Amino acid sequence: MASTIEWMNVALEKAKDALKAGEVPVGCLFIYKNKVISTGRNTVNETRNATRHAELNCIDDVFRFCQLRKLNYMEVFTDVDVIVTVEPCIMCAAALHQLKVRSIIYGCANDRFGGCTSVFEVPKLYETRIFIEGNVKGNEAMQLLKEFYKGTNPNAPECKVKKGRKRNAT
Amino acid sequence: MRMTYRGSFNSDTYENEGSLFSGLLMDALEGFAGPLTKRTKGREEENARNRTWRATPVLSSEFTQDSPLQDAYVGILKEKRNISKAIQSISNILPGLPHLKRCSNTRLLLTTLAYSKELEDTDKSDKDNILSQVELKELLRNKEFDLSLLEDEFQVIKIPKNPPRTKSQAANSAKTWPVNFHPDPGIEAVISGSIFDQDQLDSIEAYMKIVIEAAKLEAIGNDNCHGSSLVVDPEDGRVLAIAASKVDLHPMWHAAMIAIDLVARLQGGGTWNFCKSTENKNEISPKLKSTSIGTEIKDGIKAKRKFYEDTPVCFPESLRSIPLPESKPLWIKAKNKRKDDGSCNMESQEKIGPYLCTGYWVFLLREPCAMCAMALLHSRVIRIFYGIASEGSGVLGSKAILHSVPGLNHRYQVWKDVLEQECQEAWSEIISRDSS
Repeated sequence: MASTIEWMNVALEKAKDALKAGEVPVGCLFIYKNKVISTGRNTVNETRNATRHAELNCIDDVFRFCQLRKLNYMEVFTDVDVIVTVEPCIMCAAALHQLKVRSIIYGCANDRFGGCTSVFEVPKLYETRIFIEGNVKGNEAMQLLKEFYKGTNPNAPECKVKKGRKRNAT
Repeated sequence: MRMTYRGSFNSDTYENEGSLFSGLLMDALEGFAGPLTKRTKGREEENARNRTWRATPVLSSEFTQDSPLQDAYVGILKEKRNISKAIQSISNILPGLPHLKRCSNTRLLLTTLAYSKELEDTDKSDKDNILSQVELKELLRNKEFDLSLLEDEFQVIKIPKNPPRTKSQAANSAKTWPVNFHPDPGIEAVISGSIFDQDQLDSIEAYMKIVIEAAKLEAIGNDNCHGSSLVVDPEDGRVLAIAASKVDLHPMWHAAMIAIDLVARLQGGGTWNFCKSTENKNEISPKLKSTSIGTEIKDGIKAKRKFYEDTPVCFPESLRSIPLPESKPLWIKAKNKRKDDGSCNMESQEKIGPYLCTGYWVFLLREPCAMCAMALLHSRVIRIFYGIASEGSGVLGSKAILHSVPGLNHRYQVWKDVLEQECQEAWSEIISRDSS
């Protein structure tokens, strides 16, 4: 049985894959009965779909896993532990709450979109109480994000921020 | 002059704040150049009279609630002719409170009772402490304020703590103390509803009717989220995608999530294989079936535009049968509004094509759940219209106002109650269908 730290190391490897592929480096594992049943990473640029975060990709995976094995996905998800390198965003946190996963373990906080504690507290919207723990190898996850944001997003429009306004704001 | 009684004290500071704010709002309104054309008043009234609904903007409490009050000291001027001198002196010594006039009749606003950093050279160490009248007088004397201008006894009054954002807030704040206020036309237009002309409201109504039809035909949702969605490009009014929730087929297939993926397909991307999931194996669109993500992306803009002629993409496929209104622009794109940056705006748009759902308008039968609302935010839609609230799970008005949460990098504007009654009827129909 692997420890949380070991699992997080695997998730960090997935995040590195994302970085290599030019995606926001977030990696994720879904663990069911002590086995990894899905690994995922961001595929936003590849799919031109801003919602394709690592967690949602894993959710799709697990749903297929259940269909193939004729399992009730609603039951399976309630026994799933989610290991993800960055705090799930508001969208992903809501999805995981709707599916009632057992726990969410994340690396670094997500100051831009974090849906567990950082920007908006999604757990307050739902009755399901999910065990949530942060800051598991958070520094390493953050380092990957920093590396990504040093570069530029190849798909973003060139001048999204108005130059004049940027000056005002700083 | 700045320092006259009538002039706004520190009005420049205030105006800076105002313009920064209106700048933020204009971000959300980007491209909006007001109603398309001027129409005769008679027609406006006639149409407005026939409409059974009114779009209600969903605004943050910053715009809808009155400012809390706080205690402040005022000094009473012995002689009115000293007003100008007193204002000048006090504003140099104790600047701040730029949203308030410094003087009301013979009352001179001195400072708030709560200790503030500007008073650091007083002997106070406890930051939560309240400035006493004796201490204030001491401070004023040290700063060479002529205390003989004022009556001996200061008064404590209530003043609004925050600057007003809207005309209505300004009017309410002014009941306690005169305020400096410059209404923001953009905000006032949203509040009054004049932001949309009758033609735009007709279009909004037409799109919402499609949404209602889609929900009646296909929507299968759950307590979290339920209904149907439509994405439109306001520049030409073209319907890009129509979707109904299908949580019976996939737990994440809420209407907005499907619509976002359908738009991604139009740009050569997309994730979900909707073809396999439909019972009759119908294709979404013949061309879309052959979409191969890996190769299309390399082709760049051509790939992104490739499927544009296939709009709208629909899921479930049966939604294609819903008749569409004639496409017409919902707004006039403000061309080169900022001349300096105009080049990058226009050219980069042409060069890279559409990016996610940037600038699109989304119509929903019901208020979205946190997942869908955030998905639309990630996708950078600019406006959301919905028919009825989802009291148990909605986050654009009911359980939260997600688009006003500080820290998020993109904001959209939200209106509710569009064709409210019709949406409610459709909703009841779906619910009774589901439970039967």
